[in-house]
Amino acid sequence: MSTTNGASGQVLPVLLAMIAMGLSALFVAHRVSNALGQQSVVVNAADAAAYSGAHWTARRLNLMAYTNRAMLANHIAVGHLVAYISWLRYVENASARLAAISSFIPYVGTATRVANRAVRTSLGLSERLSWGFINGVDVLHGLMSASQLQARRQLLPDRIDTVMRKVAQRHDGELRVNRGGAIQSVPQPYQAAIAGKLLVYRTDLLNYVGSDKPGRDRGYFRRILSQSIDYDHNLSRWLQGRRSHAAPRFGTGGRSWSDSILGLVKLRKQGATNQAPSPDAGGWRSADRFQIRERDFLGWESWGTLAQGRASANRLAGNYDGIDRYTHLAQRDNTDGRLQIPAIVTRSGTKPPATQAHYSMAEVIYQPSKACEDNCPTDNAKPTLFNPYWRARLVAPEILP
Amino acid sequence: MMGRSESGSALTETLVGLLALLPAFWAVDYLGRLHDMDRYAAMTARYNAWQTLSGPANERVTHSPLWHFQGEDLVAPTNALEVKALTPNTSAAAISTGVAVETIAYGRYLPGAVSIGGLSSGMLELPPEQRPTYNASISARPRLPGHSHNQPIPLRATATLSPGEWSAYTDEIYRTRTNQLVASEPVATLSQPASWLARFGIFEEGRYAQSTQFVPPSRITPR
Repeated sequence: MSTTNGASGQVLPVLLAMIAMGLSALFVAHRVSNALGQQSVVVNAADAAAYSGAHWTARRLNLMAYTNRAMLANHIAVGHLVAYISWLRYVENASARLAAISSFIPYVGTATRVANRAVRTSLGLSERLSWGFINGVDVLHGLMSASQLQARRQLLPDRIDTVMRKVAQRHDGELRVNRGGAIQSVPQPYQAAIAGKLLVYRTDLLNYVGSDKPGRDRGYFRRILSQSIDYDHNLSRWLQGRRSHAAPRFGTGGRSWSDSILGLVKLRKQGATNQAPSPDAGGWRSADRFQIRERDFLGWESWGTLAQGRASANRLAGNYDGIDRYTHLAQRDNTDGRLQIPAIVTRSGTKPPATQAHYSMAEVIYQPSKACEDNCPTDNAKPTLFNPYWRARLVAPEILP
Repeated sequence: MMGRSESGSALTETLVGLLALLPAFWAVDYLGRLHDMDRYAAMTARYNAWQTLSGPANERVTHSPLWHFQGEDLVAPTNALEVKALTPNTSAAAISTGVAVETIAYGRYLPGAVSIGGLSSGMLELPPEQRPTYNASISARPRLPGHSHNQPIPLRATATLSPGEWSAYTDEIYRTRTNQLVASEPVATLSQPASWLARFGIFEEGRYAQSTQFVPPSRITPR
């Protein structure tokens, strides 16, 4: 009987091979599972980073919009107060004249004297408070300008990358965001496309928001100021006048009326408010007067002023700085306003796998509400930093064109 | 035909081989379940962070049927499943973003006396910027050699987000917030006598002073 030596130990090599394969499969399965777990952390971190970066940006754009509108409204409030004090001075002047004329008439004289005293008290109070009010508005404008400047600095690409990095690193301390070196591990052609996206994102951010002085912006600020006054008929009448450093020209004003008595006497009331076209938009000036002219056998006499009043922001407050600067979209004819915030999150840890990466994209868009009937801008309205309708959303990234 | 000395060796070798292979198969099953728990921890942290977009985070955790092994619960009995808010979604946990921005956005550093001037002491009263961070952890029972000292295996994941746009969702919200930065109240109060004086014919233009709504609707945009 012959033994077949070749058969001895045949099972063992096969088993050893199977054991080796089984252990390898176990090792690979463990590695793959680990890698998948880590990749899901990278994906989570990239989504959270991009989304947070876009929200950070939207918050700053909305803050600029609120403050732009608030500065404009406070500036109009100063103009309103200046016009009111001018008008009240005129009323006080007129009531003093009436009191003098009627002083010999029983009861009427007393009534006009009391009325004049009441107007004078109201005027004195208004004048004293206007100093604090106008200077307070200047301080508030300074604070809002500072917040706009700070918000603009926080929109620099490095700051947004820092925000995104902090978010990503709460997921895993080894994650990096938008780091040029780490992107080298991404295979071509994605590497070039991602590098291009990052360059566009940084360039867009640097050129997205600008700032100007109200008098040096080709009339942009003046137009929105006029629109903000003219939308309200009463406010428009109250603040009507020229844009000039000079004294108000009465014929240009809106606080006016005229009347005629039996064709023999003409009365007219005129009142105008000037906005200064200076770089800071300060310098509201206002004037009111009441005039009379009579007709004699030679014709109409010239106008005679019976009562008048004047006021200016600079005189009431010592100085009114107005609005030094405001922010706006750098490209004012920007019809889209879309700003893309990419987050390329990479992980180059010491633990295997060596490199993992995920590319997420969020965008900031201008989206006016549809829930305000006629008061909101239309769908095709251009984006503006005068409305806080900036929102953020995650979008599907398009890496390759 | 094998000799007597070799008879049964295949069986023996197979048994020896299976002794090595069976624990490997057993380990694959066990590690798969551990990985499932690990992914679940990451997902729980992620869901809690994203949940803050629509309200308070839902810190509930579930117990998957996969987390049983050989009839035994894989989750360690003490401190088994936990979601912890590392940075809660409260104003105390706000991110510092600069004095001027914080003062205008939510009135930090501002005295309450500003309300005398008709302003809101909370200025725009926007929610503070935050990064609510959640940590989800699951402690698994050790079953592999090397973990026999019975220390639970910690599986942890952390996730965060910095949500909030400060956007106005309606024209009314935009005007309300903006008005909080506008000192229109003192002007409206001081102008009160104008409406009384306007009743007299020669001061009738005083009625125009009653318009003290200085924030226009948002449809008024720069041309």
